Amino acid sequence: MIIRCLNIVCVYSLLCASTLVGVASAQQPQAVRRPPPVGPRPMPPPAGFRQPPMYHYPSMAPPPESYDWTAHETSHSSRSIVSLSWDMAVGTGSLDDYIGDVSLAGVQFEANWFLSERFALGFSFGWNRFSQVFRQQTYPIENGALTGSTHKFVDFVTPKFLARYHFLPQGKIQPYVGAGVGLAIVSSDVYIADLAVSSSKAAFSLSPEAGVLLPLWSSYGSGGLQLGVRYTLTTASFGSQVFGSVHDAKYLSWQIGFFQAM
Amino acid sequence: MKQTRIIAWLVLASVSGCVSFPDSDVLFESVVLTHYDPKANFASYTTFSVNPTVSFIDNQNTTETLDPALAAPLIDAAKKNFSDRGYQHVEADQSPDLGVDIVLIRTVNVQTFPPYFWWGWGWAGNPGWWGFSTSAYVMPPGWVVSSYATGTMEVQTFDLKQSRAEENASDIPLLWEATVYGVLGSQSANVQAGVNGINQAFTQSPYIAGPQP
Repeated sequence: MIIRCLNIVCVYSLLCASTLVGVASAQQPQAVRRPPPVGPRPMPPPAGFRQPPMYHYPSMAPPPESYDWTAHETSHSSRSIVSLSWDMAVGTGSLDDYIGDVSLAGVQFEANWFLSERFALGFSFGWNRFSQVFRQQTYPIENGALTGSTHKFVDFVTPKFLARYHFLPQGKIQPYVGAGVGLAIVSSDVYIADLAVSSSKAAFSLSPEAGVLLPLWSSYGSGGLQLGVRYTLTTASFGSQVFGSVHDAKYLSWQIGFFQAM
Repeated sequence: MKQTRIIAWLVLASVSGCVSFPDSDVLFESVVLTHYDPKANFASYTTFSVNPTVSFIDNQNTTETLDPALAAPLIDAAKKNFSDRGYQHVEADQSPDLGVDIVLIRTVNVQTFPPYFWWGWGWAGNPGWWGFSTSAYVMPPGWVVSSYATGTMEVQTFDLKQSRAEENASDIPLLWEATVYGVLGSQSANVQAGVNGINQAFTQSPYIAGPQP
């Protein structure tokens, strides 16, 4: 037992010593023997020439006010960001009454241009499909009734202009808030047997949003994961007296996707 | 480039995996449509009779009828539902108030139907069987014409009482019709689907409440 304890103490002592030596040696400045320069010596700058400032932000002092953010290599200060996301949604209000299932079919494409360090404008193009099967429902009709299984679809295509404010454009987690304004092209269909009741219309849409950018890589500019949540309000009303109707369709959606800064 | 490919595949997989399309098996599993004449007073009738023959209707003016063994469950289902509502079953020669015909639609492309629906009310069955010289049924106004679904069974109820009261009646008013989709398959009638459809038609027609005491 005593021998075993001594062995453990010895092993720990050796490990600690080696660690301390490693840290100490890492902190020692290493003398580097550089090879002599090859080729002609550089010419001195001509009279009146002003060397442009060289920034090594963030390892050095903060950049001046006139710093050119669009020339920076990190994502938050790049000139533009594009993203592609999987967009899931659930209806609220009358849309939830019409189709209660969560929509897993959706996609969102965005492109934003930074006008300043934190503020960006852009556009987005999104699509969400809500669908649900209703088994053996009875619907009252004029002077009668209809019983059957119905399959309801509602497609939202939403081209919009975007405005976003990024709170921590330098951070590893870059939250933002924004809003989109544009169109909601709504197409609704109800199928029962070989009957389809369809309608399509365009409406106004407004969608406040919030999300975060999580930079993961730095190739081709930089890029990473984008998470977001958006509430879309539209003026679209559709449906029928038989199968139900929706007034001013609204839905909550959440996105998971990837962004690429360029 | 690798990231771009990963993103593209993820988005394609997520979207294609989540897009749903109508499942025809579900949509066609059972569809029952009922209509009634809003002027009808179902409480004013006391007796009914069901035509013991289930006829086919198609574009060839066929005289074919359904095998009596297959027709019997359909006829029994109609009788039972009317009896359960309080109507008395009588034979056709005993002057029933209501006459009930069951017909199977086969390869018919034109039909009268209400707004929103293309299969439904009003295919003429076999009016001569009820002892009237007319060959026409009367349908409520406002119905339009379009294609008709093949394989449909119709249960039609006529006002024989009124036709009998009118001398030289030129038509038989239709009071109620139940349309059951998908009863007639490519080979034979799906009798059980027909029986279930008849039961559902009565379930969704509470206004057929029997004679007034």
